[in-house]
Amino acid sequence: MLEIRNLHASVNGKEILKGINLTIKDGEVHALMGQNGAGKSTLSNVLVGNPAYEITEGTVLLNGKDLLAMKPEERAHEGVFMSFQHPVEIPGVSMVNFMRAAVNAKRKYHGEEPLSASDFLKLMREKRKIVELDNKLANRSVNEGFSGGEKKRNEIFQMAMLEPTFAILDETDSGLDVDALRIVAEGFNKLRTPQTSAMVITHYQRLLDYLKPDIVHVLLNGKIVKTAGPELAQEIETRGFDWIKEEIGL
Amino acid sequence: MTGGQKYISQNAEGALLISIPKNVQVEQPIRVTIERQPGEPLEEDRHICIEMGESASACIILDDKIKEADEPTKTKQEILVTAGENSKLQLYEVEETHFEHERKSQITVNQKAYSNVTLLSLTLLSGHTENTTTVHLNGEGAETNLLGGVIADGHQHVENHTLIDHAVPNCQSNELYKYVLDQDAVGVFEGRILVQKGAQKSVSQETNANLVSTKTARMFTQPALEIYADDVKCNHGATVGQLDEKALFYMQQRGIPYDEARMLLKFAFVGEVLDQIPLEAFRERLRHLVEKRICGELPSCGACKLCK
Ligand SMILES: Nc1ncnc2c1ncn2[C@@H]1O[C@H](COP(=O)(O)OP(=O)(O)OP(=O)(O)O)[C@@H](O)[C@H]1O
Ligand SMILES: [Mg+2]
Repeated sequence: MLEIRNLHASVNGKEILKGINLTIKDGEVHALMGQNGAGKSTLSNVLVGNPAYEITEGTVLLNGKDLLAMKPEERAHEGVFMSFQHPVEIPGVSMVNFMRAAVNAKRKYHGEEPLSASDFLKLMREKRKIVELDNKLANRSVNEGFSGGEKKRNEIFQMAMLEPTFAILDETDSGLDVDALRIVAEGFNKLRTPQTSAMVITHYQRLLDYLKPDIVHVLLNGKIVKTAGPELAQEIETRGFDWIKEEIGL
Repeated sequence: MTGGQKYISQNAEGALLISIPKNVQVEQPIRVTIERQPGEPLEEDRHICIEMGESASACIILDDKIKEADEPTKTKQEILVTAGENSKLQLYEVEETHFEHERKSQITVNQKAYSNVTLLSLTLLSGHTENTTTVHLNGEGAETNLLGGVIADGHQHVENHTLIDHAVPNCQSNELYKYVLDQDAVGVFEGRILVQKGAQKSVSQETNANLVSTKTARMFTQPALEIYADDVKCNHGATVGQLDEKALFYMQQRGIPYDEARMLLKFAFVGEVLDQIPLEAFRERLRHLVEKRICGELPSCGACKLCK
């Protein structure tokens, strides 16, 4: 369970998050919507410990543990994963070495032996299938020269490898063609367990048709201003955000 | 003893002579390991002469492994290479000495027509190193590949001065030097490409890229093109950068600890030089050595921060 209480954060001295309160229970999928620049990616980055963002107030508990006190890698080991809105290219670091380092670091954290080379490659093969990631991509440097859609698919492949219990998808649908979106979304659903929860950021209903969120939030101007069921996403798809702004008197 | 060892001899003055006769293809790499035995002088004057006969081919590995002694050690080295017509030479020089070692090395290569020479200078560990490499492309159709990699930390000081001399038309040169500097290390790269008058259709690419991962490490770089012919294709460039913070964070998000992420990035950076080594088994061995060096696991390394 993730509990965010009164979270304030700024970047370069400018306050972006102005008191976020949000609880995501095990097994739940929450959608987070809101206009460009509202602070959705900022919230995601703060949760995964990106040092570019400064937390000025508030607490975040993950399964009762103080998330904000952990290093980014510890958060990952504790089950937090973020599918980046803009995945980074890392020339010269092969996907295999990258994933091996990630998987084995997590195993070490949990007191497990590193995977043997053959077991690891077998795991890569299995997980590639879930999102139909081309073997050629898996043999290249991390995201280097990947198309926009390939990068997003690669994010969910990494999620499959790391089996997080709390996943943040930051506009994973953007850049994916219709078929790729279906494959990636269905892949995500296959990876879900009763313990997995997720925060899904998107501007469009299409991804949510697959993921079937339990709850939809609207983030505006650094605050969650509206929370409702999946029907809220439908309404935003047709009506935009202006009516919500009016409702709250913005 | 591998196949090529029989082509090595030593003259009365102690100079090492490696001479590959005309048309001989030495299949196995010729490996020369340089070590200092206890009790031997702390200063060494080394002369190596490599002669490649016409259409001969060989791969030579020089492993400079002078170990730490009670007092600082010193090497002065001179290597003279003659590459005969149509000959093919890969010469790999790996320095893995120690922080109290001073090395001054001078390599001069004379290439005849259609010869193909690949030179690698890899400084894994050293104290104060000054390498000067001069390649004369004296015969048409000659090609040279100059590769360099430097991994330095502590108070290491590593200089590479190179000159590629396109003396005749239709020659090709590629040069790639990469430095990874940490802590208080200082790196110097000076790379001059000279295209002489009349050396038309010369093709040359020179790149020096550097990763400076602390505020106290310093890199001085000066690539230079000097062209006296008008029909040539020459490019050169130098960059000095830091570790990519976004990439580091991306790796951490996946659970890779910060220090390990840094190492992966450094290794990837130097890896580009190693990728260009044609000899696969040797490339893998170097990868392993570089990885160990970057992780601070080299037996001779005792001062970098990961060893402490
Ligand atoms: N590193 C940064 N430096 C300066 N400003 C930043 C930085 N990161 C975010 N911001 C600003 O913070 C605000 C919130 O940005 P954020 O990326 O969180 O928006 P978002 O809700 O994810 O938008 P989008 O839907 O376009 O992805 C924006 O005004 C943005 O310009
Ligand atoms: Mg965003």
